[in-house]
Amino acid sequence: MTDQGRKPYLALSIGAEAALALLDDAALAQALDRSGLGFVVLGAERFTEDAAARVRLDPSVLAARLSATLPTTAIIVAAALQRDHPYNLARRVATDDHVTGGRSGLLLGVTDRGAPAVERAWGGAGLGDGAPLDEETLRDAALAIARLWQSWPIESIVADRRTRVYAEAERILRVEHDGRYRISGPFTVPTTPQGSPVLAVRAESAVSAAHHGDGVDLVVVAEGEGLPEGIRPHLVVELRREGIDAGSLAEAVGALGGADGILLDASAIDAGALLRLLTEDVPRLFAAGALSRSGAGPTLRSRLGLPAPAPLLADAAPAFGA
Amino acid sequence: MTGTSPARGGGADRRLFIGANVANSGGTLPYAWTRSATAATDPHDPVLWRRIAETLERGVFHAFFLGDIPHPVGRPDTTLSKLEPTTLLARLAAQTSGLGFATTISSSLNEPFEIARKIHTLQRLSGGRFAVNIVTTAQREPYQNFGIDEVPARPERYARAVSFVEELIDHWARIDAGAGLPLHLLQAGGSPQGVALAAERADAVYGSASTRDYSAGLRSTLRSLATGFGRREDDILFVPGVNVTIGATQAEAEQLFDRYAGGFDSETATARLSDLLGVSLAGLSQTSRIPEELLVEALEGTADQTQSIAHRRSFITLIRELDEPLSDVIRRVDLNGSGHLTFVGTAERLAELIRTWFRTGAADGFIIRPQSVPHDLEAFVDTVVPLLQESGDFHREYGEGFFAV
Repeated sequence: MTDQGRKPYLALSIGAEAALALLDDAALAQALDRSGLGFVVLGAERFTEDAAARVRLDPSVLAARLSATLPTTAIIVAAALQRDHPYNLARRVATDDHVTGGRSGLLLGVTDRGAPAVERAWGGAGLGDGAPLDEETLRDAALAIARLWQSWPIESIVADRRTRVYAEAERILRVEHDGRYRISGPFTVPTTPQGSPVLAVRAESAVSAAHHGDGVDLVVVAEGEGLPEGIRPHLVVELRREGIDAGSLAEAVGALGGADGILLDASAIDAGALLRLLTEDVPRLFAAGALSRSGAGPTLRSRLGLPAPAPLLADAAPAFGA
Repeated sequence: MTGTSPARGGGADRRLFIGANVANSGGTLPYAWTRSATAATDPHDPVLWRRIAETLERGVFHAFFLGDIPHPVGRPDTTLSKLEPTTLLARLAAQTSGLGFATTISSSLNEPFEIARKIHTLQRLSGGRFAVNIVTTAQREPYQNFGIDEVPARPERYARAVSFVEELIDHWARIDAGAGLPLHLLQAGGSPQGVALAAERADAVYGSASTRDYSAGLRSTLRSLATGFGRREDDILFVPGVNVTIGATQAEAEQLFDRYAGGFDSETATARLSDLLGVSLAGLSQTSRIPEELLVEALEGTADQTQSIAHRRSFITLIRELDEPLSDVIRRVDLNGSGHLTFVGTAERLAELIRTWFRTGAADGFIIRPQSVPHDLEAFVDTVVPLLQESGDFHREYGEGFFAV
């Protein structure tokens, strides 16, 4: 948590139907792009029991498509360890971050509630042992992803036509992550326009939220879980409401002193309701001083006032020999 | 999949299927990146990729293919960094309207439900313009990014690929829920297990064939195998890859090739040929021919799991046909160690080669592998495509469906 004096930024979790509507509805897309939201989350329904059945589209593919329609909005995609591996997830989100010029992030959670229950995280087509499906594995996966994102500094690509050296290979680092996951590295994608994409984890409780730190930028906790104290990353509180209106939201936000951001679950609303939310309720919330508009920087990291990620590979060996 | 593609024109209506495989944004030659005067970080720049996609669409290409190995395999002095293809192509689909895309997925290193949903989302957002290329991943390093120390043996990898495809199809039916979006499968490579899987399920095989006779044999085998699965011969296309350097004259093309190939070193080239064949050639004199018993050993050798059987077979066929000393043979090894045909010459000669292979039944089309990007792609679109269109071998506009030719 940082900057006690600043009002929280507002982010929105939207559903597949609203996302599809954005592709065809220029007025809606423009309203979102100009709304002053910190970011939009795609696919977060998978983390809650009653909403998971609504997941219809793959968030990373949808984000890659949607970002072409939304020149300003930052998009964070949700993923669960139950279905995918940190190396795959890291590559998709880093690729998105390159093509969007640094407007991308990942919201990582443990369980996909829309999928059949399993005990182990996905570990490679039955070839490897999946890690236990719990929050310690989430912590480890987040650290592994953050390390991968630092493995290939883009400055190492010098493309010197005279000497025919494309990359100064000694600056590309092995990862040798050895925790719940074992990942050798290096990564396939160089560092992105915002250094690393924004990495968020969805903690199951206020207590577990306190365990997330290394490499993590945002910790998301559901409203009813209480507020964790003393965490290093930004704290984002997820609000879920049957009906969304500016008055009751302002009140709820006021009771959440200490949150850096509010993630409002709008995944069940349709395009019409989303347009009203963006053009009527959100401006009222900003006007009432309950929330602040996000910064105007080019990257998601700069807009949220997030620092550059702390170096995680200071002692790593070069990936390529001399 | 079978039954979901529109009928292809056989006989007199036959048209070429043409795709492009952009090995990375520099091209297949190691130093192709030095040809471009643009920025060092181009391989990660969406503007360059958009330019490539728009060039392909201008040339009415059927497919923009990207391979994938989840590890930076290659030489660090060349452009080995890579964006993840599925995400990148999803973005490019938003910036095009007729071009098809083929993305590569490792059946060993992905979960089938996750991939079924991804491909279905791609089809929904692109109007059905995607195909998926399932590979097993044969190199050791990618597995070590997934906590797996050794490459699984080939039979195990292919068993996994077969069950992956079956699960993919099962999940597809549920996810699609009657929407009717097609699941197009393309198979790159040609090991016996891969060919069998392709004959049953795939819409097209992207193969390696260094000679026309060898290509004709592969195509004929594939078509005959497909009928064994109750399919028609024309339900599956055979499209070999061709590495392409195009010049205004033969001399210019050869100059370009030499400049970006990075010079020639017989020791390295012999080692690369040894790797490709899976037998050591180190003791052989450069002036002697490769003994037939070594070629037989190479053909039979399956102990080495990390080389493509298809590439090896293709190249052995070429060596036998050419009957040249080792010093000449090593100059023909694709610098990436692949068994693809390599073409260096003028647009007229390339159009003639494509036409001949197509009309004599050696291929249903080609996957163009530009040796220098975007130069060779732009040259192909501006100079080869019109020749193929004038002769009626290639279409002038997009038809209905991914494989409509």
